[in-house]
Amino acid sequence: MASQTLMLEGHLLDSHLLSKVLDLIEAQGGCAKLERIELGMRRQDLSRAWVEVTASRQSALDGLLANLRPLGCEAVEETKKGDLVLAPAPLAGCFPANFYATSNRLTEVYIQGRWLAVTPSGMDCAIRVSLRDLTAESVKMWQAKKGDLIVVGGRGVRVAPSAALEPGSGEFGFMDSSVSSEKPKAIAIRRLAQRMKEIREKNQGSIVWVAGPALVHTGAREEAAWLIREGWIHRLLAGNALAAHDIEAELYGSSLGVFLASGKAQRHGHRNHLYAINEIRRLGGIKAAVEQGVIQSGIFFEAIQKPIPFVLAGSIRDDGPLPEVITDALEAQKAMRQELQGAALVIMVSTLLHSIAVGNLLPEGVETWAVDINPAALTKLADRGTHHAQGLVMDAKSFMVALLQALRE
Amino acid sequence: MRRLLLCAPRFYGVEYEINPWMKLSRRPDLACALRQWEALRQALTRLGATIELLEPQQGLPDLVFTANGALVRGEEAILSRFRHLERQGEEPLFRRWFAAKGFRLLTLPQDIAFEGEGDALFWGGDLIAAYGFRSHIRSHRLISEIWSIPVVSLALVDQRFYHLDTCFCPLDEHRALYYPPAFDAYSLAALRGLGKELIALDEADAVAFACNAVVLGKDVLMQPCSRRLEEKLRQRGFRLHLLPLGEYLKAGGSAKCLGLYLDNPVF
Repeated sequence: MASQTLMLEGHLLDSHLLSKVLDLIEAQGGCAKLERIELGMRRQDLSRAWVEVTASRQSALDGLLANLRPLGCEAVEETKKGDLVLAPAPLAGCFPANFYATSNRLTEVYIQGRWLAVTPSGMDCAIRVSLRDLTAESVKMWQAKKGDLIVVGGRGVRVAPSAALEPGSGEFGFMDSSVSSEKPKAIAIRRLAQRMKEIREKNQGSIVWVAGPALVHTGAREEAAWLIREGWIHRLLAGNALAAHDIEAELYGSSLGVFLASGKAQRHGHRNHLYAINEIRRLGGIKAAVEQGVIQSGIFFEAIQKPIPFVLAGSIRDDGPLPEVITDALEAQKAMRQELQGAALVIMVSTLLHSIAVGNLLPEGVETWAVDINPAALTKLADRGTHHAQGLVMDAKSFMVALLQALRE
Repeated sequence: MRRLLLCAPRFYGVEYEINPWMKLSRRPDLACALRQWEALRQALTRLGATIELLEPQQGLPDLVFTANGALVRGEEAILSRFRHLERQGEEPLFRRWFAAKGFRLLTLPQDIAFEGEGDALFWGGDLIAAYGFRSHIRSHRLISEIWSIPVVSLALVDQRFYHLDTCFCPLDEHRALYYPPAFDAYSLAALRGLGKELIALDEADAVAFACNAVVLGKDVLMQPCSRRLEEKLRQRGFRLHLLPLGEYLKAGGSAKCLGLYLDNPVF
């Protein structure tokens, strides 16, 4: 006997596809078992079905699968069927040997006769199982507590076929390569703007921005402020530098000592951002500075006025840092993960390290756009596992101007 | 009134065989094909349609069948990925044309064949899409996700009707022509399950490509068909414009294949 689970996705009932698949399996001497079905809630929504196909021999199964593929059935990557193997975490912050390392694809585990989805999904995690509550969750290494039951080996784990919109497939990947400096950007940006509108209209989730200080250096501070004010940025993930230069621009009109209005470098201007940080530290933080009227415009002014949640994750290079910066990397990761819950769209603008970090915290299905002047930054993001990101090679300011225009259309 | 994309048959011909209608031994008469196409173009214009033209290109004899180049909805065009190598050379021409006209271009992954309006026709708010010979069923799922629309997937089973538009033709939101034996039983159940009126063709009308009609409101342009079908359509208030397009049948096409709707509404 040989068996394999298939996943079928589409308008399964409207098109009578599910019955066609089940009948075809039976007609060819196989045995079909519908394991699970998720029905689309609205007419336009897709449904998904998991069907276990069993045949007398592997060769017969292969023949069947070949006939099912043209119907859109895709084999679910599944390790040997059977209950999970669990092992306790030996120490806090450490997984048992041979733990199952997750990808960012939809993953399920087989426990006590049924498949349970692992939530939240995230890559480079292990799967922690609670047998009492029958739940499975992905956890980072540092989250493991001594004695936690962790999935080891690969038995009883299955992973859904890669999402439909791979690089090169959807408009989020609609162009043939996902990173290119030679693509008509206006079309892609209009498409992005349209998605943002749709997400807001249909309440599909939050729009999360990950931004680097180039946003301020290139002069897009006002555009970013407008986006927050008008409700196009629901969460902001960044580092010390974005806030420091935003505030430097507010207090001194410069970014890294260069006057934003004239483009000229100020004598000893490199001190400006240090003075800005120092001033904010004296006042007790960005929020306090806004409340005391010291900061009256800009990105973080709008973020605090609106208010929208933001996370400033610290790094070794930071000056100051600003009081709101979370300097404990694990705490910062936790806070970022928290803000990514319910994200429908993530837009990363000119920040390589924060983008990779956020990419690693995201499940695969979340639409991701990354903008950077350096194509290598976008390639690197994809290489680190955020394959689904749609890359735009361009200057932050040009991107922001085009996006604002498209949103106002 | 409707807007369509046509391509003059300057380089039309049968230069390969990729469907059962094409026979290298039975090539079309180019002069006659030109006359037939010109008559179609004039009839469309006379009925108020706006005609856009794609520049013909030597070596791409099927470019006249513009219906297969894309699927348009609102201002967006999903570009085709032709199954056969012989037609893949048409893809950049459609891409260029749509880009120049300001459409938002969407393309499917390289390995997923999709032949535009040849295999996907809007019927009210639904997209009726076919798989089996040319387009891959995975394209249906992608299109549904991209546009957030319901897609009814139908399996084609008769080689002669290798594209949806050879055996199915929406007449208005509630009515369509179809040739039942071109579909499998599940697909027929799916179509009938939509609860709309389906007018069945007999084999003679089907092989004369009566389903391959251009519909402009109440005006239907098609290849001459049987009296019975004419009568059925007239009873339902349609005005028939019968145009001989036999030279195109030699390549497996007719009126609809020669035009692509550029103004499908967003429901």
